[in-house]
Amino acid sequence: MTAIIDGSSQDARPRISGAGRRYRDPLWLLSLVMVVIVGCLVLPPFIALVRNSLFEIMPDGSSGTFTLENFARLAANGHFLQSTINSVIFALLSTVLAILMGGSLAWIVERTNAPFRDLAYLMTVVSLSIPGVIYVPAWLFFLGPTGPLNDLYRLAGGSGLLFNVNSMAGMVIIEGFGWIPLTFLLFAASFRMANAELEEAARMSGANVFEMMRRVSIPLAAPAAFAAALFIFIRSLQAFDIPKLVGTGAGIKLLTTDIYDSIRTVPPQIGYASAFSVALTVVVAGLLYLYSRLAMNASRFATVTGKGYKPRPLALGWARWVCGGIVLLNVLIVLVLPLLMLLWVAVTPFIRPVRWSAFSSLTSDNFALVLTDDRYLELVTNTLIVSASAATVTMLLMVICGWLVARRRAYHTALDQMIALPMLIPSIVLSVAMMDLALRSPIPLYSTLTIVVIAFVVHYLPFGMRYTFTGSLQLHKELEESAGVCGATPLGMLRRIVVPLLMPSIVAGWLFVFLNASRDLSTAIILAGPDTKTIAVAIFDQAINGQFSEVAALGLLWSAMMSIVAMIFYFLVQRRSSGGGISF
Amino acid sequence: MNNTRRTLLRLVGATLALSLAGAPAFADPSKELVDAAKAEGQMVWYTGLIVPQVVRPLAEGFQKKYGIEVKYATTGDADTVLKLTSQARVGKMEADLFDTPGTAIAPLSAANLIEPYQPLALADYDPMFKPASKLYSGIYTLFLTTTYNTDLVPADQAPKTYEDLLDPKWKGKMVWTDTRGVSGPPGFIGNILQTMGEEKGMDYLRKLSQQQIARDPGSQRVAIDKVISGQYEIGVMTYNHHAEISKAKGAPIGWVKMEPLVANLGAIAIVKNAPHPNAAKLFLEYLFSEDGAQIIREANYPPGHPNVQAKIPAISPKTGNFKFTLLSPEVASQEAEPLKTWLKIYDELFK
Repeated sequence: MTAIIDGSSQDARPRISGAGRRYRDPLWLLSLVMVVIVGCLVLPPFIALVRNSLFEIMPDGSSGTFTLENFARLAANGHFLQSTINSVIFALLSTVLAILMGGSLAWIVERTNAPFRDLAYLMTVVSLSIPGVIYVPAWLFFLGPTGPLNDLYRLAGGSGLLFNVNSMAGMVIIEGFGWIPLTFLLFAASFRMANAELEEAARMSGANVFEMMRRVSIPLAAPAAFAAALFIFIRSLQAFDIPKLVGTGAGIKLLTTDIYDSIRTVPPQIGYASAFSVALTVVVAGLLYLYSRLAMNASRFATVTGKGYKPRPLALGWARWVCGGIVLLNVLIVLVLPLLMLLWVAVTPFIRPVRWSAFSSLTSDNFALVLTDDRYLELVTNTLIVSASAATVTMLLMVICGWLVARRRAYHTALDQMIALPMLIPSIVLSVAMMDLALRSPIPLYSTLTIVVIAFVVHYLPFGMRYTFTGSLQLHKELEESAGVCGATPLGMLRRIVVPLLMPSIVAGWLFVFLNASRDLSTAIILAGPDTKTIAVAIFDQAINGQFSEVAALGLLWSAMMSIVAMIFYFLVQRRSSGGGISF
Repeated sequence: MNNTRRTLLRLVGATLALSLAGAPAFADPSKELVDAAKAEGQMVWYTGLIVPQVVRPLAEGFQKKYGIEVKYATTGDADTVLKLTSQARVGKMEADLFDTPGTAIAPLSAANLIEPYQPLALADYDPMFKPASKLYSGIYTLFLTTTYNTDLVPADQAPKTYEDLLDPKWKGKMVWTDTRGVSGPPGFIGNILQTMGEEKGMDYLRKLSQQQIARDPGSQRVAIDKVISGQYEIGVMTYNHHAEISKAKGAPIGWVKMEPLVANLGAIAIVKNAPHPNAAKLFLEYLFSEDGAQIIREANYPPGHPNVQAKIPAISPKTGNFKFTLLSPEVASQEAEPLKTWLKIYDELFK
């Protein structure tokens, strides 16, 4: 396969000369600096996680005596085996669903001439800006017993329910759909850089589109696919809101079902959630080890070489309409259905099934309530500052780290593993650790926007890494080497070769972090102070005190605003990088 | 458990014996308190109350009257506990006041983080708003009861008593929340055990568990919305003020006085070692004055102030004329009795 994908049989690792172990990476200092920075960000919350799991938490929040009770409770879970099986099924199916939908969408959008492709990015941006607190209920209502789906079924003469949302299928659908935007972005960045010559060669050698996909396109996307799949699998395994919100009605127990209750207890029983995360860390460490071995053969996947690499879209013929249909289906599922549902909820005075008779009572009161409230200016400003800073810092760090790890430079293992850690830290544990850090810091950090930014950076490091690492894998080393030959310093080479070539990945990652940080509720609620309120605070206030129609109206207006901000950003970036191949 | 029950019954009794003779005169806060508060200049309030309707009007009213700035941060109950304990460990208190639906009182009192105080303005309030411990003051009481969808269930066929809930025709058609506190099924269980007694109560609960009540993981508002949308016919442990607010908007929802109703207290307390203790005390005086009670009333909560009637008279026991069992913050701790036992019964019978 090596020969097919890459003509040269180069190894991406720094050449180790006969001196063997004596070899010292010229970039060791840069690597070390990154190890220290990432370590300072990631290790304190991780240490807190381990401590919470192993020590009793006293009423005043300090650590008490050593205990294994949290782990015992985990193991004593009455339905441990069944819960484990359910959890794995749930995570696996959600991952497969997200990869199938998001991956195929990315291939169509980046590599073919199918119609409606531009809609995919619009879909992604808008959907990433919808807060989860309204997204999940929107699906629950749509698929629920009184929702439009079952309504239509009964209208068509069916009786009872066509689909029971409170089931494993319902859980998988809602979780899986939620991951489509991320999958799409990860795959799109990778397909965009893939060398179209290989696909063209396959076609010229007589392969039809499906053969070409099976033997060229899919293997080319393999590292991105595996990285994305593992990532979503781990996140789904840890998810506790959808299993709880959707699964409770069906009595389906997952490993995380009890954790939802335990962290909502007052005071939250962080120890139990921490023990689960520690146990999961051990399991996942194995998976991550497998994954990190993939990078060993990095150059097999390097497709951006010194040669021109402007990928040309594949002319599909009649199939382009099928592919266009798939794009529309994704847009419908990820965006149109939940948005229409939310809009319906927001304009009805109280929650009711979709009926013609209800149209006469539609009202704009809920929107008026939000729009006439003047406190939002401060909240919006703070949110934009926090999200943009978090996204920028995360991507700055991850461009360097992603490249260092992909090139297997000094300390890459430590770097890679530390960056993966936050994935396993529940956000409540992260927030509490950050709160402690801020309170103890000699520089006043508590209740500032800075600590919220730091928490977001830690939380989104692994996400940023997925973009830059995958992107770096595809850059062929010959470009960097020629820069070196021409006398560029390593940093100059990073700045002038790696960063520009990685721009599509960086921008996609930036937008992902920016949009996600802006809709994140739990971290911002714990860390925001009276003078540093973000929009999360207002949404949370509505969610605990108001009616869902008001939350829906606020959430929709917020999504609209964030989408516009993201679009403006996208146009600015595109204009600045004239023809740099950035289409996001 | 017996002890707690006695306390509770005493509280209930006290509530029912309304003792309002003539117009009460409210003591104005002392000049020393006002001066000391003004010297502090500001205060910080951690709140879970609704910002546009309650928090902001109170903050603005207080600032207008005394020139003291009220800073507030929206936090959930669990977050409040995490934040206050973390601040106390390092000795950097930020908050002066916090409010809670009750659950945060026990853990924060265990961590010795509450400064006992009883506002003078509470003098003529019902005793349930001012516990002897002075650990908190009650802002309002909310009432949980049975609601029904008026399109699906005619008013005369709606269940009126707890026994009516056992009717086989409601099997699988009822919903309650999965809330693990006194405002959820455990509170229902506590109310039944206290009203019917241990033996009869357990017998009743066992029968009720055969009715397959759906457990909704959302809030009481979410549960009542599912009754309104017709997904369920009957809502158990849902708030009567939610029903009234939706009814006013035309929703097909009604509530019954299933006596005794369950009452929850919204509580507010001063943080120990608060940076602005006097401003916090003065704020409580303002909150419980007639001006403050008017703001609570406008937000559709039934205020405790004897001179201020609920905006919707039916939701208050005084004007709506119903009996209730108060499940006060003292019994709202998930890690202590009696709630621990009620939770155990819930997990065994209804999960």
